Amino acid sequence: MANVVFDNVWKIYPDGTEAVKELDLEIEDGEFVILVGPSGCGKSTALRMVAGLEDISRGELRIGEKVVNDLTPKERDIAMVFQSYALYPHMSVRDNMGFALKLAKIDKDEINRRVEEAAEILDLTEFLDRKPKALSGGQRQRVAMGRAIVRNPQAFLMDEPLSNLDAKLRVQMRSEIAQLQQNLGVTTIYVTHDQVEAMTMGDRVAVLKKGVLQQAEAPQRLYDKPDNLFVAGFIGSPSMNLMEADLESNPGGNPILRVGEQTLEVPEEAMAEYPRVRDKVGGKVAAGIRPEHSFIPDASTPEGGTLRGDVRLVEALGSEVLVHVATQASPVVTEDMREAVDDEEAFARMEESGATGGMDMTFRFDPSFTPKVGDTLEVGVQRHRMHFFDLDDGQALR
Amino acid sequence: MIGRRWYTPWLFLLPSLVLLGVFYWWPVLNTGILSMTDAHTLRGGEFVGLENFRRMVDDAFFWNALENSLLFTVGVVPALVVLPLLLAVLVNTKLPGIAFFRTVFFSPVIASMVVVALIWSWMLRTDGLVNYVLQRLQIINEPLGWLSDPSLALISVIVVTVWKGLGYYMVIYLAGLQNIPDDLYEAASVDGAGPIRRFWTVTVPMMRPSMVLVGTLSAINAIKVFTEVFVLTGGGPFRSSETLVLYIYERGFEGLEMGYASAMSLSLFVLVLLFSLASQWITRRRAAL
Repeated sequence: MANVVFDNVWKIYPDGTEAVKELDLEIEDGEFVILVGPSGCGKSTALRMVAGLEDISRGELRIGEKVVNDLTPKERDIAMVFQSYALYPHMSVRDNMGFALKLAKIDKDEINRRVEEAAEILDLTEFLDRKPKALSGGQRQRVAMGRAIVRNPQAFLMDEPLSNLDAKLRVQMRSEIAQLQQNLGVTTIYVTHDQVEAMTMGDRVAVLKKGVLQQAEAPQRLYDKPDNLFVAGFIGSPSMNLMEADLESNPGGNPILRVGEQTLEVPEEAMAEYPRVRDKVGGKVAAGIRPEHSFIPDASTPEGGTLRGDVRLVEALGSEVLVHVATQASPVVTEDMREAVDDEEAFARMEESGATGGMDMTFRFDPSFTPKVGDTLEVGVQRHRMHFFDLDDGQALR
Repeated sequence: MIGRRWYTPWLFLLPSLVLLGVFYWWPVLNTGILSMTDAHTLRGGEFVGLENFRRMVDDAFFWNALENSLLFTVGVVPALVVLPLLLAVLVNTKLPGIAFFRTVFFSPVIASMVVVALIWSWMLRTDGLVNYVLQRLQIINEPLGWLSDPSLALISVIVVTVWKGLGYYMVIYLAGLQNIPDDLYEAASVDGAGPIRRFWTVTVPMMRPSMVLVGTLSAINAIKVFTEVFVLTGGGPFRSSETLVLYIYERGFEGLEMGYASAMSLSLFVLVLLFSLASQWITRRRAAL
């Protein structure tokens, strides 16, 4: 096992497209790192560069301190799980799993021993002599995993391995892969566009946008302390409510955010977390509220701590209820948000609502709370957990 | 609502049925009938039962032609299954200008067989280009009678047929190759397979259906070969390259023995049918695996 280091790595295609730019990332020995981002962000390209399936245009890639830029996939001692599983259709499960070992001229008995051991771990023993087409999607996925683990490689590379499975199986395999990785302790790079996978599986999540690494942190830290607007908008489901608001001075107190006719006072804790907010007084900032950082206000809720709007939609999910409220806030419609939303139609709707003034915000409540569509709702905001970003460069105002 | 009349579908089918009937089924049926007569090209014949078939058994020229046809098939089919596949793999790369090579390799297909055979018959003459080049390269000392030496004539026809067919079967393979997912090659690379191993582990198994198709098509075409042999050697020298269709032609149109030629045509039909059934059987067996 080994660490994997991207040292100022670039991928530039002959037509000039820069798929990966200046990537610096160290994946420690035994670490499980998720590469996540919207389509076209360069995550798969980065993974394929580690596999040796894409040339590295610039920079250095090291696996276990050895520079592998010019090594063939074979010489890198890595195993890869593909989105399509890429099983050899004419070979049995046993032969599929043992193929790499056979090529490595490993003794037949040893191959059998390792294949059977992996099959045992993955619950595949009874399918060893079947062809891939006689297996279900989930079983094929396991065979692909098995093919990787029998090799006992320096690193596992996984390219959206769960995206062809149905939702239920995906949840199950998600935890199985995470568990397996923990047990084997093999350095793993896992590419996904699904942020639930990103948040639940890895030790660390690296978020990419247009080939540039935005932030690489433990999932919770990434969620709690996004470095920029893109990460804030991309990580979290439902995503953070991000609004563009005027920041007004407040003689004798902290600055005040103007949201249409309403105001939200920025509390001390938020000012401590985002000290550069003070520099923006008199201008505009992007302010973010996670859906769950809301509450139903009562008499003790201070003034300047709530937002009001009409209930547009109520989604009861059983364990929680998501309430969409039409507020007077303006959405943030920067390039970062276009990437984070990763859906041209949805972004066009945001731009439209930005022009007319007013955006839907999503809040998460206990299921006992059941407002009706059309009700006017006063929502308390946990202002100390708000996030603030520069509208121009998208960076957190820390 | 317009009532359904029983003959409506038949009206739609009629044009095709007439064409098929006149140009396919009637000749087939007629061949069957003629094969049991002593019909002459210029006059009708008497019913002779299985006499023509009995004659075939004793006809050394028939067995010689059948043997040549089978030898020709055995020579042509493996070459036309393997070589176009290699060619297709070569031109399936994403190199600049590769479209030019695809066109070059395909061009013999669109040329008329008669023209190709004529050009080759000039090149293969004792004083032709092939002998000249081989002598200059000092591969041979004396010019060889590619088309005039009984031991070389059939081989020469095989070579020309393979050359002409390469492009056509290459295109069938190219279509198959483009259906192989890249992932499989990449998985094989990661598993440690080099280019040759990837060819055997990914390309060949994935191309097996195309190979069965090419094998069947080329075998059927080989057993029916006529133009190539007719133009290049005329079946000679000493019937050394005379194939079954050529012998049928000779009996039917030169010997004017339509009855006998029809009987041999039926035997050819059975042979082609066997090839088709064999290939269907192989395909079904593979699908069932």
